Amino acid sequence: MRMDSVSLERIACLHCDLPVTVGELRGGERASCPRCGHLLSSRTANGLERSLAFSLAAVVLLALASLDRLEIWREIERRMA
Amino acid sequence: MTGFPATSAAADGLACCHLCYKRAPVALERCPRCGARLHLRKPESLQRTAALLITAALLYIPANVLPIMTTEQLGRATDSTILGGVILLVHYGSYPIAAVIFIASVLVPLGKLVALCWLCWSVARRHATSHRERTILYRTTELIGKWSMVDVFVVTVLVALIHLGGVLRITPGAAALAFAGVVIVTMLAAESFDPRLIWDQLGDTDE
Repeated sequence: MRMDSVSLERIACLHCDLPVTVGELRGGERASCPRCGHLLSSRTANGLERSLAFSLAAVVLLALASLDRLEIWREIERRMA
Repeated sequence: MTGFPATSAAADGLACCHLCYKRAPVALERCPRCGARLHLRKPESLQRTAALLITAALLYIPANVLPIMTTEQLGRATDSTILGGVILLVHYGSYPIAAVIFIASVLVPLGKLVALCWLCWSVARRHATSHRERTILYRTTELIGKWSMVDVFVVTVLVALIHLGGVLRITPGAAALAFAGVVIVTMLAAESFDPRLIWDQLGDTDE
């Protein structure tokens, strides 16, 4: 992987204050501090696809949930009548 | 800059933004990228942590002495403390639940208090050994601390679920509030402790 000087982030570990430089990460990669092991940066594998999949699942569940609620309201109306 | 080991960003007057990780000169006071306040170390870290730890230790007494919930069965009320509840669960043979309650509400809060006290003490006494191990201990305390809320959660769920009029009713006791206080205050204590203080003593052995 080619490292552009732009993608390099010069930081200091928030747990031990070691100055470190973190390159751009690929999906599923994690950067830990070489001295204390603190997780400095991470990138989820297939982040976009994962977000999309969970969002779609949420839409489906939301649809199911609202269907069910209608059913409950109908039941309540039936009993009130 | 003085007082900081050569292998730290603070030695060069650089602070790392706690929100966006930008490394910038502390003289700027605010992060040039996101505007958060820049500190070399968390301000008054040891003092704040110690004060919160003492508060948590004091709150831990009523949390265990007072009843955490009152069970009202057919008009007869019985109070149960945290340890009393664990003993009752063992008596009824619910070993897994008893273990969860015991670990979450006795072992974890006590372990957290002891660990944070030891970390504060070791930094104040300028121990110059096992930096990495102490940092890992700190990270573990920070990570598992919030799970102690399980006990408060159990009580709230029971209170909400078991409300069968005059037959059976569960109401929360004063200890539930004190215990929630213990968990919140120890979380704040862990938050206010600065693990970089552990590493500031790196140079002590070399000199």
